[in-house]
Amino acid sequence: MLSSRDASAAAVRRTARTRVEARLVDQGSTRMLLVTHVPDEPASSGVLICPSVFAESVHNYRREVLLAEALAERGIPVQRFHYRGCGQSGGRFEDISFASMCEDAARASTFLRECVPIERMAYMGTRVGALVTGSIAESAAPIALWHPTMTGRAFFREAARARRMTDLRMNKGDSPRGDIAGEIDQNGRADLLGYALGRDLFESLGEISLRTAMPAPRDVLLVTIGRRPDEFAKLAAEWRAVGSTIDEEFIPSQETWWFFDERGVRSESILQVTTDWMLSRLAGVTA
Amino acid sequence: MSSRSSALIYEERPVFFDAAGAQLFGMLTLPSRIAPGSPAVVMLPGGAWMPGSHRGSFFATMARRLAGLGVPTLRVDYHGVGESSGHVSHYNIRDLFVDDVVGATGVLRELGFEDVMLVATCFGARTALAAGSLSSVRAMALLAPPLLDYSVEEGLRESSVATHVRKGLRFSVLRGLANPRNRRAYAKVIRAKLDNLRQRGADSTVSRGFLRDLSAVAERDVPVLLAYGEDDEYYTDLVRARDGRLGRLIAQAAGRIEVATCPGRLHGFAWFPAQEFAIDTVCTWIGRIVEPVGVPNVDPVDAADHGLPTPPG
Repeated sequence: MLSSRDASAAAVRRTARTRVEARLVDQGSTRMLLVTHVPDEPASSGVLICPSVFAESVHNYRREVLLAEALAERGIPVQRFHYRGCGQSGGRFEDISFASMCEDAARASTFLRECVPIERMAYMGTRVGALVTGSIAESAAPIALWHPTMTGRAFFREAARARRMTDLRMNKGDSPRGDIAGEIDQNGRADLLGYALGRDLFESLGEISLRTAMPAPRDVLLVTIGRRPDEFAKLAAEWRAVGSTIDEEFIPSQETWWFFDERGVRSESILQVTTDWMLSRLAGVTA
Repeated sequence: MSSRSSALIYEERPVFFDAAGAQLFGMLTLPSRIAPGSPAVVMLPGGAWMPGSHRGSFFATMARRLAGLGVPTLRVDYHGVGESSGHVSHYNIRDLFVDDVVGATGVLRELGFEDVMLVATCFGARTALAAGSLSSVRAMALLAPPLLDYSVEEGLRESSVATHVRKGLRFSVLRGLANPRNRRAYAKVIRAKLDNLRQRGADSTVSRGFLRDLSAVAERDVPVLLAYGEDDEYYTDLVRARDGRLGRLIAQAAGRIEVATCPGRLHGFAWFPAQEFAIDTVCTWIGRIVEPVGVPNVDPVDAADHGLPTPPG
């Protein structure tokens, strides 16, 4: 049976103690998908989840849904969204920029506050979503990060590497594509494993670094999934030096962020760690 | 929520619906004018937890292009995937998600669309084929469907008799013979391997399940489009299988089963040419089935946002 739809044209599904509302809202010249996980009980704090983009967003997608459900079941409303140009939102991949991603995240955050009268927000960023989270979160708001991308440049380096590997697998080793910047110059966009990268995002995200995007001091959960880059330890030390509280968790895994496989959905420990941390940070303000 | 330009081409609307014991998420794309008698399209992605928008949102792009032809669509997150509830631990071609398709057709029926076309990739394409016996299914475009029931038949084909004998003589296997359940399982493997040996030749690259489901669809005169990339592993299977029962089935269908190919890889849709081929081929093929309302070349992404005109009429 088709679910009921409320006055604001949201599709709704229920879980034991929550409801999940999905709606398209106007954003700029197009629309974006917002998904709100609302507990039945009143709440005074909420969480915004900022996803990644391109192929690696699929990796964490289900985990993000399950995290939102777990938090909502424990009384914390959660807002999720698809950036314009991505997933089920309107627009085109090649038109997004780091600024548009931040605008979309801010809009989603505002929407949650309008839906649920909350006093405090916490944030969650996965991979490149960490850069967005760091840029829009209020000072001192707690932030959980799942294997954050350290810089936009590193993100594109990984993309280029994944593309070369795919080209070899697709028997195009004899005619490999040029670098990403050259392809954008030539075609106006680059093909990142079937995802369109435009100049705006390439140039704007390329300038962003987690080190500078996320002011300290604040409480941070840094979840490393799979191999632990040296930069994480350095960054954690720097943040601690300026008064942040950094909780680090290591989840052994064999993640390949740009490729899909069944290992990408082992979620239980990641969800447990993150849920417990969020509950501890938001304790006292949750009704 | 409708497209925002005054020139409305389509409305998109998220829905949840009951299917497979879960509440599935879908995104409807409803054209402002429906092609006369047009079935609606259910879009089914592949496995690997791919949500209904598909890689690079190319299913969303295809849906919006089809809206320009007056064809409504519903792109589906399977149970346990994306925004849907439920759980998926693994994907198995012997355990296809036909119930998800039944649920999706129910949504469209509530909206007044009794008939559906299925557009599906990989695992979704095998699911669509298995759902072909549903009376509401009027056509299906299957993009890179595996012909074998991976991984069972792949394993049987790749492993030699010697390998099977060696595995069968392991102490753990011999000890397991004491258990009647294990004995039944071992007997099943032996029978399957013997079947596989008997089938050497063209029919060894296509499963009985694929042939059975395609035959059933062909008997109902349902038009089928099979699309592959020439570098797809499944295309190699197709080329070989066309010398056997599959080839005879396609010939007997007298044009109701069409095969389209593109250079390079299609499976995975991991580069623009594959996505563009899929969108162009499916839209052209569906355009031959329905009576398009016009505006056939709307912007593939978001027509109304770019100020395209309202379809005539």
